Amino acid sequence: MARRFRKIPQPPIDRRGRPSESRGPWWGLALLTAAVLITALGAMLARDFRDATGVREWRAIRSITTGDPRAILATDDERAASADEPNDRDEDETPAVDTPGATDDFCPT
Amino acid sequence: MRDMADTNSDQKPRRRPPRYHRFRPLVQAGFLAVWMAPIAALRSFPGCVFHCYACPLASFACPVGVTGQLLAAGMVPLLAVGVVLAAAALFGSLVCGWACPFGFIQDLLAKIPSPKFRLPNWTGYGRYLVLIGAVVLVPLLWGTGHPLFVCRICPAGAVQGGLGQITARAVRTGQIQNLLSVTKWVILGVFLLAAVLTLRPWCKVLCPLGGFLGLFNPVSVFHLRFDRRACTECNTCRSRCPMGVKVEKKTNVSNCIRCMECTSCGAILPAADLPARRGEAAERGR
Repeated sequence: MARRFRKIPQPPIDRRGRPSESRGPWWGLALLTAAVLITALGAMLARDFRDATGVREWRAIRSITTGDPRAILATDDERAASADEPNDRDEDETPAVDTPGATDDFCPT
Repeated sequence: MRDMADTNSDQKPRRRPPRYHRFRPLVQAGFLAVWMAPIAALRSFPGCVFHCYACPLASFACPVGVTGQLLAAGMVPLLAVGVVLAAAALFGSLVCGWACPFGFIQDLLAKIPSPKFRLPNWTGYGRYLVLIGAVVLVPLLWGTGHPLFVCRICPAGAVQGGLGQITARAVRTGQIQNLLSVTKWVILGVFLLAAVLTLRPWCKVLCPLGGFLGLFNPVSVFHLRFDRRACTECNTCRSRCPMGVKVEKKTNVSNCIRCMECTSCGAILPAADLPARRGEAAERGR
Protein backbone atom coordinates (compact mmCIF):
# COMPACT_ATOMS: atom_id res chain seq x y z
CA MET A 1 0.00 0.00 0.00
CA ALA A 2 2.77 2.37 0.93
CA ARG A 3 4.49 1.79 -2.38
CA ARG A 4 1.31 2.15 -4.37
CA PHE A 5 0.24 5.39 -2.83
CA ARG A 6 3.60 7.01 -2.64
CA LYS A 7 3.01 10.73 -2.54
CA ILE A 8 3.21 12.27 -5.97
CA PRO A 9 3.77 16.05 -6.22
CA GLN A 10 0.49 17.72 -7.08
CA PRO A 11 -0.53 21.31 -7.69
CA PRO A 12 -1.16 23.12 -4.41
CA ILE A 13 -4.63 23.22 -2.97
CA ASP A 14 -6.03 26.68 -3.54
CA ARG A 15 -7.37 28.57 -0.58
CA ARG A 16 -10.38 29.87 -2.47
CA GLY A 17 -13.32 27.87 -3.73
CA ARG A 18 -13.28 25.00 -1.29
CA PRO A 19 -16.94 24.30 -0.71
CA SER A 20 -17.94 21.76 1.89
CA GLU A 21 -20.85 19.83 0.47
CA SER A 22 -23.73 19.60 2.82
CA ARG A 23 -26.75 17.59 1.87
CA GLY A 24 -29.19 15.13 3.28
CA PRO A 25 -29.91 11.58 2.23
CA TRP A 26 -33.35 12.37 0.77
CA TRP A 27 -32.55 12.19 -2.93
CA GLY A 28 -30.72 8.93 -2.34
CA LEU A 29 -33.65 7.47 -0.41
CA ALA A 30 -36.09 8.53 -3.13
CA LEU A 31 -33.89 6.84 -5.72
CA LEU A 32 -33.66 3.75 -3.54
CA THR A 33 -37.45 3.53 -3.42
CA ALA A 34 -37.59 3.74 -7.21
CA ALA A 35 -34.88 1.08 -7.47
CA VAL A 36 -36.75 -1.29 -5.17
CA LEU A 37 -39.90 -0.87 -7.26
CA ILE A 38 -37.99 -1.54 -10.49
CA THR A 39 -36.32 -4.60 -8.94
CA ALA A 40 -39.66 -5.97 -7.75
CA LEU A 41 -41.15 -5.43 -11.19
CA GLY A 42 -38.14 -7.09 -12.79
CA ALA A 43 -38.36 -10.07 -10.44
CA MET A 44 -42.03 -10.56 -11.28
CA LEU A 45 -41.44 -10.34 -15.02
CA ALA A 46 -38.43 -12.66 -14.84
CA ARG A 47 -40.69 -15.53 -13.84
CA ASP A 48 -42.61 -15.18 -17.06
CA PHE A 49 -39.45 -14.60 -19.00
CA ARG A 50 -37.74 -17.86 -18.09
CA ASP A 51 -40.08 -19.88 -20.27
CA ALA A 52 -40.36 -17.32 -23.01
CA THR A 53 -38.62 -19.30 -25.72
CA GLY A 54 -40.14 -17.31 -28.51
CA VAL A 55 -37.51 -14.60 -28.37
CA ARG A 56 -34.25 -14.44 -30.27
CA GLU A 57 -31.23 -16.11 -28.65
CA TRP A 58 -33.41 -17.50 -25.92
CA ARG A 59 -30.88 -20.15 -24.98
CA ALA A 60 -28.21 -17.58 -24.21
CA ILE A 61 -30.66 -15.52 -22.25
CA ARG A 62 -31.81 -18.57 -20.34
CA SER A 63 -28.24 -19.17 -19.32
CA ILE A 64 -28.03 -15.78 -17.67
CA THR A 65 -31.46 -15.75 -16.16
CA THR A 66 -31.41 -19.25 -14.76
CA GLY A 67 -27.69 -19.84 -14.46
CA ASP A 68 -27.54 -23.00 -16.50
CA PRO A 69 -23.79 -23.71 -16.80
CA ARG A 70 -24.31 -26.18 -19.63
CA ALA A 71 -25.10 -23.36 -22.01
CA ILE A 72 -21.74 -21.80 -21.23
CA LEU A 73 -19.99 -25.00 -22.25
CA ALA A 74 -21.97 -25.42 -25.46
CA THR A 75 -20.14 -24.83 -28.72
CA ASP A 76 -20.99 -22.29 -31.38
CA ASP A 77 -22.31 -25.03 -33.65
CA GLU A 78 -24.77 -26.17 -31.03
CA ARG A 79 -25.85 -22.62 -30.47
CA ALA A 80 -26.29 -22.07 -34.16
CA ALA A 81 -28.26 -25.30 -34.39
CA SER A 82 -30.40 -24.29 -31.46
CA ALA A 83 -31.06 -20.92 -33.09
CA ASP A 84 -32.24 -22.64 -36.28
CA GLU A 85 -34.42 -25.22 -34.62
CA PRO A 86 -37.98 -24.49 -33.51
CA ASN A 87 -38.02 -22.52 -30.31
CA ASP A 88 -40.70 -24.59 -28.63
CA ARG A 89 -38.29 -27.49 -28.15
CA ASP A 90 -37.82 -28.70 -24.60
CA GLU A 91 -35.03 -26.68 -23.03
CA ASP A 92 -33.71 -29.59 -21.03
CA GLU A 93 -32.64 -31.34 -24.20
CA THR A 94 -29.58 -29.07 -24.40
CA PRO A 95 -26.64 -31.48 -24.38
CA ALA A 96 -24.01 -30.96 -21.71
CA VAL A 97 -21.09 -31.17 -24.08
CA ASP A 98 -17.50 -30.60 -23.14
CA THR A 99 -15.75 -30.50 -26.48
CA PRO A 100 -12.01 -31.14 -26.33
CA GLY A 101 -10.00 -28.74 -28.43
CA ALA A 102 -12.79 -26.26 -28.80
CA THR A 103 -11.44 -22.82 -29.54
CA ASP A 104 -14.70 -20.94 -29.50
CA ASP A 105 -15.37 -18.15 -27.12
CA PHE A 106 -16.43 -19.31 -23.68
CA CYS A 107 -19.11 -16.69 -23.54
CA PRO A 108 -22.69 -17.85 -24.10
CA THR A 109 -23.05 -15.17 -26.72
CA MET B 1 -6.01 28.05 10.15
CA ARG B 2 -2.82 26.07 10.28
CA ASP B 3 -1.23 28.56 12.66
CA MET B 4 -4.25 28.44 14.85
CA ALA B 5 -4.06 24.67 14.99
CA ASP B 6 -0.37 24.81 15.85
CA THR B 7 -0.81 27.29 18.68
CA ASN B 8 -3.58 25.20 20.17
CA SER B 9 -1.87 21.89 19.69
CA ASP B 10 -0.45 21.84 23.19
CA GLN B 11 -3.89 22.32 24.76
CA LYS B 12 -5.58 19.22 23.42
CA PRO B 13 -3.97 16.32 21.55
CA ARG B 14 -5.40 15.89 18.06
CA ARG B 15 -7.38 12.70 17.57
CA ARG B 16 -5.91 10.43 14.92
CA PRO B 17 -7.94 10.41 11.72
CA PRO B 18 -9.84 7.19 11.14
CA ARG B 19 -8.02 4.90 8.75
CA TYR B 20 -10.86 3.30 6.88
CA HIS B 21 -8.71 2.56 3.86
CA ARG B 22 -6.54 0.15 5.84
CA PHE B 23 -9.44 -2.29 6.04
CA ARG B 24 -10.19 -2.07 2.33
CA PRO B 25 -8.18 -5.11 1.15
CA LEU B 26 -9.86 -7.23 3.82
CA VAL B 27 -13.31 -6.04 2.83
CA GLN B 28 -12.50 -6.59 -0.85
CA ALA B 29 -11.33 -10.13 -0.12
CA GLY B 30 -14.52 -10.75 1.87
CA PHE B 31 -16.68 -9.57 -1.01
CA LEU B 32 -14.66 -11.69 -3.41
CA ALA B 33 -15.76 -14.71 -1.39
CA VAL B 34 -19.36 -13.56 -1.81
CA TRP B 35 -19.11 -13.09 -5.58
CA MET B 36 -17.29 -16.39 -6.01
CA ALA B 37 -19.55 -18.76 -4.13
CA PRO B 38 -21.18 -20.74 -6.92
CA ILE B 39 -24.80 -21.22 -6.06
CA ALA B 40 -26.83 -21.96 -9.17
CA ALA B 41 -29.98 -20.44 -7.76
CA LEU B 42 -28.28 -17.12 -7.21
CA ARG B 43 -26.60 -17.00 -10.60
CA SER B 44 -29.93 -16.17 -12.11
CA PHE B 45 -29.87 -12.90 -10.18
CA PRO B 46 -27.73 -9.97 -11.32
CA GLY B 47 -25.26 -8.63 -8.78
CA CYS B 48 -24.19 -5.02 -8.48
CA VAL B 49 -20.50 -5.46 -9.35
CA PHE B 50 -18.47 -6.12 -12.46
CA HIS B 51 -17.94 -9.87 -12.33
CA CYS B 52 -18.21 -12.10 -15.39
CA TYR B 53 -20.94 -14.70 -14.98
CA ALA B 54 -19.00 -17.03 -17.30
CA CYS B 55 -16.53 -17.49 -14.43
CA PRO B 56 -17.10 -21.03 -13.13
CA LEU B 57 -17.25 -19.71 -9.58
CA ALA B 58 -19.53 -16.73 -10.21
CA SER B 59 -22.43 -16.56 -7.80
CA PHE B 60 -24.35 -13.72 -9.47
CA ALA B 61 -24.91 -12.64 -13.05
CA CYS B 62 -23.01 -9.60 -14.32
CA PRO B 63 -25.44 -6.67 -14.55
CA VAL B 64 -23.67 -5.26 -17.61
CA GLY B 65 -23.74 -8.59 -19.45
CA VAL B 66 -27.38 -9.15 -18.53
CA THR B 67 -28.30 -5.67 -19.72
CA GLY B 68 -26.60 -6.18 -23.07
CA GLN B 69 -28.13 -9.62 -23.55
CA LEU B 70 -31.65 -8.55 -22.75
CA LEU B 71 -31.45 -5.39 -24.85
CA ALA B 72 -30.29 -7.54 -27.76
CA ALA B 73 -33.39 -9.66 -27.23
CA GLY B 74 -35.54 -6.55 -27.27
CA MET B 75 -36.31 -6.67 -23.56
CA VAL B 76 -35.91 -4.16 -20.78
CA PRO B 77 -33.38 -5.36 -18.17
CA LEU B 78 -35.50 -4.28 -15.21
CA LEU B 79 -33.90 -6.58 -12.65
CA ALA B 80 -30.33 -5.59 -13.50
CA VAL B 81 -31.16 -1.89 -13.63
CA GLY B 82 -33.10 -2.09 -10.38
CA VAL B 83 -30.32 -3.87 -8.48
CA VAL B 84 -27.61 -1.53 -9.74
CA LEU B 85 -29.78 1.53 -9.13
CA ALA B 86 -30.40 0.40 -5.55
CA ALA B 87 -26.66 0.01 -4.97
CA ALA B 88 -26.05 3.39 -6.61
CA ALA B 89 -28.69 5.13 -4.48
CA LEU B 90 -27.32 3.70 -1.26
CA PHE B 91 -23.56 3.71 -1.85
CA GLY B 92 -22.73 5.32 -5.19
CA SER B 93 -19.33 4.20 -6.36
CA LEU B 94 -18.36 2.89 -2.91
CA VAL B 95 -19.19 -0.43 -4.56
CA CYS B 96 -16.29 0.08 -6.98
CA GLY B 97 -13.73 0.81 -4.31
CA TRP B 98 -14.72 -1.77 -1.73
CA ALA B 99 -16.77 -4.57 -3.29
CA CYS B 100 -15.88 -4.96 -6.96
CA PRO B 101 -13.78 -8.10 -7.57
CA PHE B 102 -12.43 -6.74 -10.82
CA GLY B 103 -11.28 -3.60 -9.02
CA PHE B 104 -9.63 -5.81 -6.43
CA ILE B 105 -7.73 -7.65 -9.18
CA GLN B 106 -6.48 -4.30 -10.48
CA ASP B 107 -5.47 -3.20 -6.98
CA LEU B 108 -3.45 -6.40 -6.59
CA LEU B 109 -1.81 -5.98 -10.00
CA ALA B 110 -0.90 -2.40 -9.12
CA LYS B 111 1.16 -3.72 -6.21
CA ILE B 112 3.69 -5.13 -8.69
CA PRO B 113 6.62 -2.71 -8.45
CA SER B 114 6.85 -0.56 -11.57
CA PRO B 115 6.74 3.09 -12.56
CA LYS B 116 3.15 4.33 -12.24
CA PHE B 117 1.55 6.68 -14.72
CA ARG B 118 -1.49 8.85 -14.15
CA LEU B 119 -4.16 8.95 -16.80
CA PRO B 120 -5.75 12.35 -17.46
CA ASN B 121 -9.20 12.87 -15.99
CA TRP B 122 -10.88 13.45 -19.34
CA THR B 123 -10.33 9.77 -20.18
CA GLY B 124 -13.15 9.04 -17.70
CA TYR B 125 -15.68 9.99 -20.36
CA GLY B 126 -14.72 6.76 -22.13
CA ARG B 127 -16.89 4.93 -19.59
CA TYR B 128 -19.99 6.62 -20.93
CA LEU B 129 -18.98 5.86 -24.50
CA VAL B 130 -18.78 2.17 -23.56
CA LEU B 131 -22.05 2.36 -21.62
CA ILE B 132 -24.01 4.01 -24.40
CA GLY B 133 -22.21 2.32 -27.28
CA ALA B 134 -21.21 -1.24 -26.36
CA VAL B 135 -23.85 -1.91 -23.68
CA VAL B 136 -26.93 -0.19 -25.12
CA LEU B 137 -26.66 0.78 -28.79
CA VAL B 138 -24.66 -2.14 -30.22
CA PRO B 139 -26.91 -4.87 -28.77
CA LEU B 140 -30.03 -2.90 -29.64
CA LEU B 141 -29.01 -2.28 -33.24
CA TRP B 142 -26.80 -5.23 -34.17
CA GLY B 143 -27.33 -7.87 -31.48
CA THR B 144 -24.78 -9.86 -29.52
CA GLY B 145 -22.86 -11.02 -32.58
CA HIS B 146 -21.29 -7.61 -33.21
CA PRO B 147 -17.55 -7.53 -32.42
CA LEU B 148 -18.06 -4.44 -30.26
CA PHE B 149 -20.73 -6.03 -28.08
CA VAL B 150 -19.67 -5.47 -24.47
CA CYS B 151 -19.15 -9.15 -23.58
CA ARG B 152 -16.88 -9.60 -26.57
CA ILE B 153 -14.52 -6.78 -25.58
CA CYS B 154 -14.76 -7.14 -21.81
CA PRO B 155 -11.48 -7.82 -19.98
CA ALA B 156 -13.39 -9.19 -16.99
CA GLY B 157 -14.67 -11.86 -19.35
CA ALA B 158 -11.11 -12.62 -20.40
CA VAL B 159 -9.72 -12.73 -16.84
CA GLN B 160 -12.55 -14.17 -14.80
CA GLY B 161 -14.51 -16.03 -17.44
CA GLY B 162 -11.76 -17.06 -19.84
CA LEU B 163 -8.93 -17.88 -17.48
CA GLY B 164 -11.47 -19.28 -15.02
CA GLN B 165 -12.92 -21.64 -17.60
CA ILE B 166 -9.46 -22.68 -18.81
CA THR B 167 -8.47 -23.49 -15.23
CA ALA B 168 -11.72 -25.30 -14.51
CA ARG B 169 -11.37 -27.44 -17.62
CA ALA B 170 -7.72 -28.14 -16.85
CA VAL B 171 -8.69 -29.36 -13.39
CA ARG B 172 -11.53 -31.47 -14.77
CA THR B 173 -9.89 -32.99 -17.83
CA GLY B 174 -6.19 -32.61 -17.09
CA GLN B 175 -5.69 -30.77 -20.39
CA ILE B 176 -5.13 -27.10 -20.99
CA GLN B 177 -7.43 -25.90 -23.77
CA ASN B 178 -7.42 -22.49 -25.37
CA LEU B 179 -10.92 -21.12 -24.98
CA LEU B 180 -10.13 -17.52 -25.78
CA SER B 181 -10.13 -15.89 -29.17
CA VAL B 182 -7.11 -13.88 -30.34
CA THR B 183 -9.00 -10.66 -29.62
CA LYS B 184 -9.61 -11.72 -26.03
CA TRP B 185 -5.95 -12.62 -25.55
CA VAL B 186 -4.95 -9.18 -26.82
CA ILE B 187 -7.50 -7.51 -24.53
CA LEU B 188 -6.21 -9.61 -21.63
CA GLY B 189 -2.58 -8.68 -22.31
CA VAL B 190 -3.28 -4.97 -22.69
CA PHE B 191 -5.38 -4.97 -19.53
CA LEU B 192 -2.77 -6.78 -17.43
CA LEU B 193 0.00 -4.45 -18.63
CA ALA B 194 -2.10 -1.33 -18.02
CA ALA B 195 -3.11 -2.51 -14.54
CA VAL B 196 0.54 -2.84 -13.56
CA LEU B 197 1.54 0.55 -14.97
CA THR B 198 -1.36 2.66 -13.78
CA LEU B 199 -3.97 2.54 -11.02
CA ARG B 200 -7.34 1.06 -11.91
CA PRO B 201 -7.15 1.65 -15.69
CA TRP B 202 -10.37 -0.18 -16.50
CA CYS B 203 -12.31 1.62 -13.77
CA LYS B 204 -10.98 4.99 -14.79
CA VAL B 205 -11.29 4.80 -18.55
CA LEU B 206 -13.79 2.17 -19.69
CA CYS B 207 -15.94 0.60 -16.97
CA PRO B 208 -19.60 1.18 -17.90
CA LEU B 209 -20.85 0.02 -14.50
CA GLY B 210 -18.49 2.36 -12.66
CA GLY B 211 -19.62 5.19 -14.89
CA PHE B 212 -23.25 4.48 -14.09
CA LEU B 213 -22.63 4.16 -10.33
CA GLY B 214 -20.52 7.32 -10.36
CA LEU B 215 -23.39 9.32 -11.81
CA PHE B 216 -25.19 8.86 -8.49
CA ASN B 217 -22.32 9.95 -6.26
CA PRO B 218 -23.77 13.45 -5.81
CA VAL B 219 -27.08 12.07 -4.50
CA SER B 220 -26.27 8.73 -2.86
CA VAL B 221 -27.13 8.17 0.79
CA PHE B 222 -23.50 7.43 1.62
CA HIS B 223 -21.35 10.41 0.71
CA LEU B 224 -18.16 12.14 1.67
CA ARG B 225 -17.79 15.62 3.09
CA PHE B 226 -14.86 17.95 3.07
CA ASP B 227 -14.31 19.89 6.28
CA ARG B 228 -12.39 22.99 5.26
CA ARG B 229 -11.66 23.89 8.87
CA ALA B 230 -9.77 20.64 9.39
CA CYS B 231 -7.76 21.00 6.14
CA THR B 232 -4.09 21.72 6.69
CA GLU B 233 -3.32 21.79 2.94
CA CYS B 234 -1.04 18.79 3.27
CA ASN B 235 -2.08 17.63 -0.24
CA THR B 236 -2.40 14.04 0.97
CA CYS B 237 -5.91 13.68 -0.46
CA ARG B 238 -4.83 14.57 -3.98
CA SER B 239 -1.62 12.63 -4.01
CA ARG B 240 -3.22 9.46 -2.66
CA CYS B 241 -6.25 9.47 -4.93
CA PRO B 242 -5.84 6.70 -7.54
CA MET B 243 -8.41 8.39 -9.78
CA GLY B 244 -6.83 11.85 -9.73
CA VAL B 245 -9.84 13.56 -8.14
CA LYS B 246 -9.37 17.04 -6.66
CA VAL B 247 -11.41 16.04 -3.66
CA GLU B 248 -11.14 19.32 -1.81
CA LYS B 249 -12.81 21.11 -4.72
CA LYS B 250 -15.69 18.74 -5.29
CA THR B 251 -15.91 15.68 -3.12
CA ASN B 252 -18.65 13.54 -4.62
CA VAL B 253 -17.74 13.50 -8.30
CA SER B 254 -18.55 10.79 -10.81
CA ASN B 255 -14.98 9.60 -11.35
CA CYS B 256 -14.37 8.95 -7.63
CA ILE B 257 -14.38 5.26 -6.62
CA ARG B 258 -14.66 6.09 -2.90
CA CYS B 259 -11.64 4.06 -1.92
CA MET B 260 -11.36 6.46 1.06
CA GLU B 261 -7.61 6.91 0.64
CA CYS B 262 -8.27 10.66 0.85
CA THR B 263 -9.70 10.31 4.35
CA SER B 264 -6.32 9.60 5.88
CA CYS B 265 -5.72 13.27 6.83
CA GLY B 266 -9.10 13.66 8.54
CA ALA B 267 -10.42 16.60 6.51
CA ILE B 268 -12.49 14.42 4.21
CA LEU B 269 -14.75 11.96 5.94
CA PRO B 270 -17.94 10.01 5.40
CA ALA B 271 -20.86 12.30 6.17
CA ALA B 272 -21.93 10.18 9.14
CA ASP B 273 -18.54 10.61 10.78
CA LEU B 274 -18.17 14.33 10.20
CA PRO B 275 -20.35 15.89 12.92
CA ALA B 276 -18.09 14.51 15.67
CA ARG B 277 -15.05 15.73 13.81
CA ARG B 278 -16.59 19.15 13.33
CA GLY B 279 -17.04 19.54 17.04
CA GLU B 280 -13.45 18.55 17.53
CA ALA B 281 -12.21 21.03 14.93
CA ALA B 282 -14.28 23.81 16.45
CA GLU B 283 -12.76 22.96 19.82
CA ARG B 284 -9.26 23.15 18.36
CA GLY B 285 -10.04 26.48 16.72
CA ARG B 286 -11.24 28.08 19.93
